[in-house]
Amino acid sequence: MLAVQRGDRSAFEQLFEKHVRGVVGFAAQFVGARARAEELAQDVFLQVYRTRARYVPRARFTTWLYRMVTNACLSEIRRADHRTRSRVLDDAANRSVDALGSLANGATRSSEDALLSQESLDRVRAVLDNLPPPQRAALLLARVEGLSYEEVAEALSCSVSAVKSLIHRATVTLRDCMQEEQK
Amino acid sequence: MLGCQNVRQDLTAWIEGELPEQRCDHIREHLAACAGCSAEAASLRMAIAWQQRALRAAMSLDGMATVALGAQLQRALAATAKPTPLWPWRPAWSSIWGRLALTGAALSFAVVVLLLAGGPGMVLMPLGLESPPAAVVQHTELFKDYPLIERLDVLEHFETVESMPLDDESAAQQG
Repeated sequence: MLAVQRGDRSAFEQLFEKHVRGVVGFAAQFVGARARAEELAQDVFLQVYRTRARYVPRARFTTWLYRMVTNACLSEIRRADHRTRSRVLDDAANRSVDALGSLANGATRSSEDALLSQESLDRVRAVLDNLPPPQRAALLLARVEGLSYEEVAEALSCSVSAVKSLIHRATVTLRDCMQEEQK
Repeated sequence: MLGCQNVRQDLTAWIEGELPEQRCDHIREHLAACAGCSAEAASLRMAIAWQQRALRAAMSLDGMATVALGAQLQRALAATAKPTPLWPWRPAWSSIWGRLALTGAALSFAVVVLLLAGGPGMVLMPLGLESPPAAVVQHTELFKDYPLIERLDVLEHFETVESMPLDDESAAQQG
């Protein structure tokens, strides 16, 4: 990021390549349609480039990035027309195929991951969709992006104790819903 | 000893290593004595481990081609890039101090032009810093509809006023 601050476009391209999948995946959990998530990701990376001078290497770049992503996602879902957007029906299927393909092909993933059925993944996404947005954001930032509670608090502009509560409630809800499903 | 409710709301953070050491000690102490909370902790531990894998898989976009998105971003960056200015310095009006300085200079210029065009009376008289001519003072009813800032020699009544004898002169003539 420091190289990007100096105007190095190739460093920015590397940064984009490294984080774009995570950003699109995160945004897709908020806006539903993958196409819209890609638009949001593009907006966020444009914002990163334009505001690169304001980045202070006090926090991890990921925290700074996801602060922008979270704000963009929360603004998007607050928009009145969000509910009227039609969800791309085959989008979830595409993501599932991507996910399962990566599980099958990825040498880094354990065989245990392959036991996650497509139904389970769809159910997880459905439960995530029903979580309040701050709980969803906190859970995804901590569990998927690997941010610490302190970093999540910084990304969500709230206190660490609020993050602790958000993540705990989301964890319990997700666990209970998945157990209910199995019965 | 902590209450069960108090402990349970911290279990997720405890499992993820996000609690201070002193709080961890209290929780371990409680779990050792409480079978219910201990079972809840075991259940949450399993749930967290499963959720980490499931959420990553659910959000996985490993197969996503980023080339098109990257190209779109490059186009957007190029479209919004500002052209290199011919003049390397920022214009004076781009800052508040620059704007204030320019406003001051414009006001000063306006005052100088006024002074040159009509003399100091054009500026001082409307401000009450200079007395109007005696004819105006003594016959204010003739001038009340005219702003004093206007030049007297363009007034319709100027010749009339100029030819009118002053009050003390007419008294002397009459006397």
